Formats: sequence, structure tokens, C-alpha cells
Amino acid sequence: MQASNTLWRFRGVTPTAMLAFVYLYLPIVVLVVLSFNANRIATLWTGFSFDWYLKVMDNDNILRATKNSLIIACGATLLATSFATMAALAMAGRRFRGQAFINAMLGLPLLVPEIVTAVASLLFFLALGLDLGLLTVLIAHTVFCIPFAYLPIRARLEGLDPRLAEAAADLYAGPFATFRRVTLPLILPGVLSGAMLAFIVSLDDFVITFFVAGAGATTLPVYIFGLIRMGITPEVNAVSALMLLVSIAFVALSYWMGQRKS
Amino acid sequence: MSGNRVAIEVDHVCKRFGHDEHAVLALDHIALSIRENEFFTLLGPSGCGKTTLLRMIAGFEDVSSGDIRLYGQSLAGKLPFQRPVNTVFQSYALFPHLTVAENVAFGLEMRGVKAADIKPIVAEKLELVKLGGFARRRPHQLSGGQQQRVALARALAPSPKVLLLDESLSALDLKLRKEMQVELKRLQRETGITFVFVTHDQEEALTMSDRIAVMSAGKLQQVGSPEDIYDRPANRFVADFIGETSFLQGRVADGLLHFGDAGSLPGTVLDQSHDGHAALAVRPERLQLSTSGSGLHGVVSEVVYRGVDTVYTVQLADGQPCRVRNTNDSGAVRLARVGDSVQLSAQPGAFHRLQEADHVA
Repeated sequence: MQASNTLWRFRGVTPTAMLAFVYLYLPIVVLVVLSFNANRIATLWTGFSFDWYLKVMDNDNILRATKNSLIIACGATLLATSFATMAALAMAGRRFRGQAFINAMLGLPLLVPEIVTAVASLLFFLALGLDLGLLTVLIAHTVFCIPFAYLPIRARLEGLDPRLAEAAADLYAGPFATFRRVTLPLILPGVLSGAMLAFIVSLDDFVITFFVAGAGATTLPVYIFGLIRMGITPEVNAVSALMLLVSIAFVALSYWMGQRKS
Repeated sequence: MSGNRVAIEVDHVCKRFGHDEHAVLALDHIALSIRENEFFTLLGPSGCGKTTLLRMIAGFEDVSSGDIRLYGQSLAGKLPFQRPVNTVFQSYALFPHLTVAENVAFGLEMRGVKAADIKPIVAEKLELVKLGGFARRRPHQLSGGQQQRVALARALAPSPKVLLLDESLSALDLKLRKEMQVELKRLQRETGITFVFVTHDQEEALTMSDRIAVMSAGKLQQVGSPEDIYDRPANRFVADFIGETSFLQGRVADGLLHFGDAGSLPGTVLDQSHDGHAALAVRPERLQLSTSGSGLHGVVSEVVYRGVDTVYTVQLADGQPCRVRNTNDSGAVRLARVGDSVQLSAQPGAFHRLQEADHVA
């Protein structure tokens, strides 16, 4: 790399890069380290302890919030990935009028400020007369998860030889059999990658959830925000560290799925 | 070898792309019959519509007008998976996530053949294409030639009434292609299935086919046996596309062919039914070049040595260029050099008279 990339000729590239990484990851490292702090005051290190993790496991509110988060993340992932797969299949088929416009519309939610979506969703649910709760959170999450799930699936379909589906049809496979036996297995890495992304984005979401969740539908990020308002406790550090662990696991899995050649 | 029953009847088929006045006529009233057990080739330059026609038979393209019938039954409205024909794709289109055996079994499974019956058929077809030991491999572990054979076995496994081959050899290198040409011919003989083969390679077409349909610009130019096509081209396009041809203008009178100042040749034209001006086509290898004796007079303007033979371009005394190909005998020196005066003589029937309408066009 050093031979081909002229950037490395300049002095100070390595320190700059290191500084950037420290800037990115030091806060997270500090958070994880402090989550093992024995001291009640979160920022003062006195000794190693698993106490806060045990406290987290013992806290009914946290467990309930975690359960809500997982229900919503799983539901939203399933729905968003299904819709995204259908959309990607439709977009990969025959060319049709307005295709470019629809493609843009599918990606647009990624660019709309989240607060706008949050307010709009809230108003929409109120206008419909829906009670805020798990259902409204699930609907809102499904919507913003679709573009995240859509992009990797679309990319995977883009690389798929359209002749393969033709070959299946030629060998007496109807549309459904073609999808189940040929298309789906071949785009599966993209579908799983999309699902993982959707899951993480849903698990992570605060702004939209904060607006459309009712009293009984508190998710983990919303609960953590509530805790923070009473001061940073080692308990918050521990919950955050656990969420980080889950996130890393899923992102790594998603990356691995996307990379895997069929 | 060819039965008399008609397997596929293409009945005045047209294909239009686009709408209204912007429509492009990709196929223009194509009418031909493909007989049972025949090795039938659709030959033409790229963009002539041959692949479109093949895809219509397979059901991947709609017919704009006209009809395609398989053993008398119209295929109109039948989707690809409802047609008892199978395709070998140009890119093979093997399923990358399935093994060789699973690829070959796919069509049988989809037809609802029992698992116990599928196994022996798959083994038999793999044996047929000489890939007996490759059942558990994945397509990406095979060479291009082997993938080609898997594609063949897969398409043959469900015993289709007609096998469609879309430029199936064009991705292979020359040596492998020659091998596969012989192989395909053998498979066709052994299975007795009607093959419809699409290619732009005239040599391939001549080598393998029972009959050839030459197409150009969406129109059918000629249908016939390889000998018909080569020796009796229907028009200038066919004569030019298949093999090498020199086109000459001459005059037929008193059983002689006259070429102005270059002189005349006796009795060497097919179809002397009427005298007068004639557009003629002649194959370079049907002419003989000599430095003495009688024949058409001319001057050598170009000599190309090609190992097995030498091609001379001769400027005839009446100004028309004409090519001559002479086989190189062992130890023989070149017959002539650039600038030499030479005589051209012809075998009987060497000159083919083209339809008058064609030379105008």
C-alpha cells in the first residue's frame, strides 16, 4: 500500500490517522471501562466490579424496555425486509416509467431529518386516532427501516444475472418456484445483510421512538435517556456497553453476510 | 436423418420494438419450418434478429404478430415454463448455488419427476456429456468447456421436444469450440432431439447443421442445406456472408461468359437460362490461377500467404478485382507475384448467377 498510495509520502499521515481513531473510539472505550467501575460515581475509577451489570439484570424497568426494544426491532426487521425485498424485486424486473423517481423515493427517507419524520409520524397517528404504543412504534420503525434493508438487497439483485431466472423458467419453474429455488438463495446474503442493518437501526432509534411511543412502549434508548436526566450512573454505562456489544455483533454479522460470496 | 414431421412452424412472425411510428421491426414476416430431429441453425450477423427469434420460441419474448407452433400447437400465451423446450444459454446461466447434479436435476424436479427416478437420469446425462465424475462440483469449480457441458446436460435432462442453443459455443476458445461442434453433433444424433442453434459463425453453421436459415436485418435471406447455402446462395448477402466471394459483372451470350477486355470463359455459369447482363458470384477456391494458357486476363495486385493456401487478388483486364485461392502444394513456389500477368480459369459451374434484383440493391 505504501508503494502505490502517494499519500503515505507525506509526513504526519500516520499520527493524524491515529488521532482520528482515538477521537472516534476513546469515548467508547472509556464508557466500557467505566461500566466495570466499582465506584458509585461513574467517572471516578476505584476498582473492578461486575456489580453494575448485575444491577442491570435485576432492574425490571430495564428488562421491560429491553423486551420492548427487541419485540419492535424483530417485528420492524421482518416487515421492513419483506417490503424491501418486494420493492427490490419489482425494481429489478422490467424497466417501467418513473422507475428512477421511485428509486429515489425509496432512498429519500435516509436523507430526511429524523425529527421531521418523528413529528410527521406523531401527527399522522394522532390524525388517524391511533393510541400511541407498541403498534405505533412498530409502524414507524418499519417505515424508516425499509431503505436500510432495501439498499443491500437491491445491490445484490443488481449483480444477479437475469438469465438465471430465465433459465429456471425455461426448466419448468413457475414464478414462485423460481423465486424460492433460485432468486432467493442467491440474494439471501443481501437480504440477511439488509435485515441486520434494519435490526440495528431499529434497536438504536431514539428520536422517532421518543415521539411515537406511548407510556407502555418505552424502548431501551428512550429509557437510557430517562436515566441520564438523573445523572450519569455506572448502570447507564453498563446498559450502554451491552447495547454496544449487541450492535457490534450484528454489524459484524451483516458485514460478513454481505461479503460472503454465494 | 431428418424426419418429415414439422417440429416448429414459424408462421409469418414479426417483432416490433417500441410503439407507433418509432417502432423498429426486428423481425419481418419470418416464415420457416423446422423438421423433427433436425439440426437447424439460425445464422446471421449480430442484430439480425436470430436470438430474438430463438427467445420467442423459448417464450422470453412476445410475438408481435404471426404465430409459432410446436407440433401443430400454437405457443401463443404459453409462458416459458409451460413450453416443452429447453435452452442452453450463451452465458450458460448455471445456478451457482447448486451442484452440477442439482443443476441437471432442476428441470426434472420442477416437472414433478420422483426423486428416485431423477438420480439415474442425472447420472446418464452427465455421462452423456462426459462429466460423470463431476456431480458434486459447483459451477465455479469448472472450466468454461465443462460448464458448457453441464448446461447441455441440464437442458437435455427433461427430454425436451426441442433444444434451443443461443450462441452456445461463442464463449469458448477456438480449439474447444471445434471439439464441442463435433460433440454437439454427436449429442444431437444420439438423443434424436431437434436442435435449434443460433450462431454468427458461418463455419460453425456449415459444420454442424442439417439446414441453415440465413438472416439479415430481421429478414430471412435463405433456408437450405449447407451445400445449398454455400454453392447456391440466393442473393448477394448470403454469398457475401458465407465464405469468401468475389462479385463480378459479366454478360452471358452463346453459352459463354464475357468479361469485356478480360476475355470470356466457356460454360461456367449456373443458370444460363437467359442471355444478357449477369451479376455473378464466384468462390476464390473455384478459380485456378496460371501464368500461361487460356482464361481471363489480369494482373496480380495482392498476394496473401496463409499457410494452407495463398490468396491472390487479381485486377482483371476489364477493371474488376477478383480473388483466387490456390492450395499450397509441398515445396511449391508461389505461382505469381504482385505485378505478374496471369490467366484465370474456372471449374464448371464455378460462377453463380445472382438474382438481377439483388445487384441493383
